Amino acid sequence: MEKVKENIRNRLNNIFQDVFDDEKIEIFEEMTAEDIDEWDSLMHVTLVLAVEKEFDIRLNASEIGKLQNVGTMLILLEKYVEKG
Amino acid sequence: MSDIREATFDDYEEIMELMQRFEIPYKTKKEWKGIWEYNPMIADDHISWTIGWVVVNDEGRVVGYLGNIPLVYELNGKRLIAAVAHAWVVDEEFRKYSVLLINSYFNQRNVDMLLNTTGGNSVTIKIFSAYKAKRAPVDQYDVARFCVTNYKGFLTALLKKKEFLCIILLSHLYHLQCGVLIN
Repeated sequence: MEKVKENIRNRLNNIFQDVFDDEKIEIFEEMTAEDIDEWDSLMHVTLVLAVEKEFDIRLNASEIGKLQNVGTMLILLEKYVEKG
Repeated sequence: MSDIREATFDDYEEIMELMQRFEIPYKTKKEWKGIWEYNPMIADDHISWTIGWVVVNDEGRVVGYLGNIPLVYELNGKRLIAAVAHAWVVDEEFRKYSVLLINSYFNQRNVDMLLNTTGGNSVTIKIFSAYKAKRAPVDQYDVARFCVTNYKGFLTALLKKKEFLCIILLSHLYHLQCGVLIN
């Protein structure tokens, strides 16, 4: 299970680096838009779309509403990966 | 909890309030409804069409909107239906739900192509690219080009946009004088 979590984290980290075009980004659970200057609403859309594409999922309104930080995003992705 | 649903004409007031908060040009209800009601594709073909989508807050108020306008094109004798995105606007507090609107637009069925004619900045290009949208083969996206077929109408519309009302009057007078001379 730890390996799965690590894999999800790595994939999400790659998405962040790619979307914000910054290879130095290292995500952490409490990370929010406050922590990345370029993370505005349009970049958030780009980010969510990139996540949906990478994990082949479609988030609904309820799930999007619950995304408070990177930690909640990781938990959500873990649930999707668990479901297969 | 916020949610997304298809927009209806009854949403007009709340959509206009939202658009005005972001200084998007106001349309009367007749003008706004007319985009679809007088649209030849809908009026002539009687097809059902989603006029757009709205994000509503937990009280049911509209806090986000994306319009969806049908256009008909013809290529090699084949009729093509295009859906044009219009006025993507979401209150700041609810911006994270913007993705639901754009997802609905890109996942609609029964259209042959999706057109966006205003998304010229780098981020919107990124968003549209995520949906595999292709850029039109033009060099510059920040320069408007017009193919003028109705000179008087074009000039009037241009001057109106520039708020040179007095010049419009003068252009009308000039036109009248020309008409007299030609006659």
